[in-house]
Amino acid sequence: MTVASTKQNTLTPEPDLAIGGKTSRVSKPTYAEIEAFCQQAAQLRARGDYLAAEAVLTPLLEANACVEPVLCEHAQIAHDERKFEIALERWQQLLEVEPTHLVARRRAIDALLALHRYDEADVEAGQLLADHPGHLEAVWAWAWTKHQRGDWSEAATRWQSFVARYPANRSAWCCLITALSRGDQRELARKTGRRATEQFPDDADIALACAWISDEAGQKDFSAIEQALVDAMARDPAQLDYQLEHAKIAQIRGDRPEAERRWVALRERYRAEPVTLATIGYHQMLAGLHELDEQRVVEVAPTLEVAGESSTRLRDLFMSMESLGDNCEFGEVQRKFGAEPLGLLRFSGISPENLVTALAARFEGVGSPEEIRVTVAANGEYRVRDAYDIQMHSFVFAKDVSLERFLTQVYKRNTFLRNKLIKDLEAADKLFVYKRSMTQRQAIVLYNAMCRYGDVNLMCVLPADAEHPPGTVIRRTAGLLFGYTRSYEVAEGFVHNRYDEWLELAERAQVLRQRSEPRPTS
Amino acid sequence: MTEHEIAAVVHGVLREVFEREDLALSPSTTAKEVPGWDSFKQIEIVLALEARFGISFTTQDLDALRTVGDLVAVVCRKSFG
Repeated sequence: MTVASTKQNTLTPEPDLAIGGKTSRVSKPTYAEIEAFCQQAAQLRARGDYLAAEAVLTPLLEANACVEPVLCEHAQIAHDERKFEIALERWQQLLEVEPTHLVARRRAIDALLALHRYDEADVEAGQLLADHPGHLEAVWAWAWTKHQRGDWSEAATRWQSFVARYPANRSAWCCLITALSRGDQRELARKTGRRATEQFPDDADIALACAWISDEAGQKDFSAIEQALVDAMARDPAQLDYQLEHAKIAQIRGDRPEAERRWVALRERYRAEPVTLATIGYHQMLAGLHELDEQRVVEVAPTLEVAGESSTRLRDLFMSMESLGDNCEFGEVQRKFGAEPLGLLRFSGISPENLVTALAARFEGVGSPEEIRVTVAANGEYRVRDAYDIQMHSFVFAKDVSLERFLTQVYKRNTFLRNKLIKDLEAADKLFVYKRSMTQRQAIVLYNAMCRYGDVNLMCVLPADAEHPPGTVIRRTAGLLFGYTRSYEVAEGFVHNRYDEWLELAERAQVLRQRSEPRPTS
Repeated sequence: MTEHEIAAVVHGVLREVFEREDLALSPSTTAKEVPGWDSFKQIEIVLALEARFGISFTTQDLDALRTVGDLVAVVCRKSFG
């Protein structure tokens, strides 16, 4: 594999799929070869090169070398990329091979929690505990599933059991204090806090957990939290989390000028660190998010009666939409219906968090030679990674175009498409489509980030469920729609595109857009 | 510059971008009929035409393009104001 990175201002050869001089086609890999491939994939994953990491494992999977390290790395890639449906499927695949695999079950629990499938997570945690009685990871997962669900009473019981077994674990003490406090056992939370403080007198996280107790009681005693945060920052000035909390707390207590002063100071401090700056911007946006009733549905699109369609009408329908990712699926749907719009994110992957930060920064850096890295996938296609960890297909193959020439093209292309995306957001004529399993809150954050450009329309496409059958489209607020599809279901390791459901979503979204709700004036 | 002359320049730009002097083009030629006319080429063509004619394509212009004739028509419209 060749990686072109202008960050080093050179074309850097990286360890190829051809490890040890062998080709990427692996017939019967040895264990040493498997280990080498997995290590290479893990290195790429750690850098966030998920497409390249998957490509490294592809020859092994095709050679049916489905042994533990390969399956484990394969699942971890999807997990790190936060594609939890796929990750879960892969962890379960590993558990079929090794039913008591601790990491696989632990990660499967994390994936289930990320998907808000709490009951299943609890069952898995029970199994983990049965397989590995007393193991720290198992006991942690047993308590953590209830904590994540917000079942504070049961969570507190389980954390008590945890700290009895592992009294030196500071994080567990923090969780116990939080669970007791939120479960209206504040006296016990205070008592537990005092015990923990005696045991760990200098621990900033425990001090913070204790400071929050009075606020949980509705006293809004933010001064204790402010003081705990000031102390925490003095003890650990490099810890960004405390600084973010310090800015957020000013916003929570409604002191906007002070909050702004803290956000500005933070940005000034980290002005030379773009990744940290993006994180700060994201947290500021979250802190400023107006709480919305997540269950409110403004309007549901009607059932469609249409059948006979002209190809021109369908092309125009899909041309009126623009994909924001997070994968190629909607781009392929557009192609299926004859629409070929130019779009930066049409055949790209980008997480909601990165998309929000990119929007906040007006996609600054996209298309810049300093940001772009190119890898060659196992099938010979150039894959591109740009700023904000945007990962994209090129459909250009190394056998057809030299790397130098491709790089020149991709700088031009991505710069052009970045400018076009900004213009499209500002014009707000198109319906932007983003498909990713995420919470409504995340979708609202994304929508708010887009609204800085204009009166945009966004359809977030989420997994269908009992309440939302496939093809359902609802309007959440003036320009925010939710569409639901089964196009998340994994079969044989892949998500299969459901064009029929996409067509329904597009049609229904169009109907709702035509009945456009007036936007609030502010 | 007449519409005919603009069409000749547009065809010349396309032949330069595709590096093919023998590229046969007509108003009804579509991207699918020209090997290698992908999104990269499309952007190269647009940038080259913007530079040559001092015009700027909007998203609506780009979305409406289906044939070489459409491309010539957009350049004419923008050039003639």
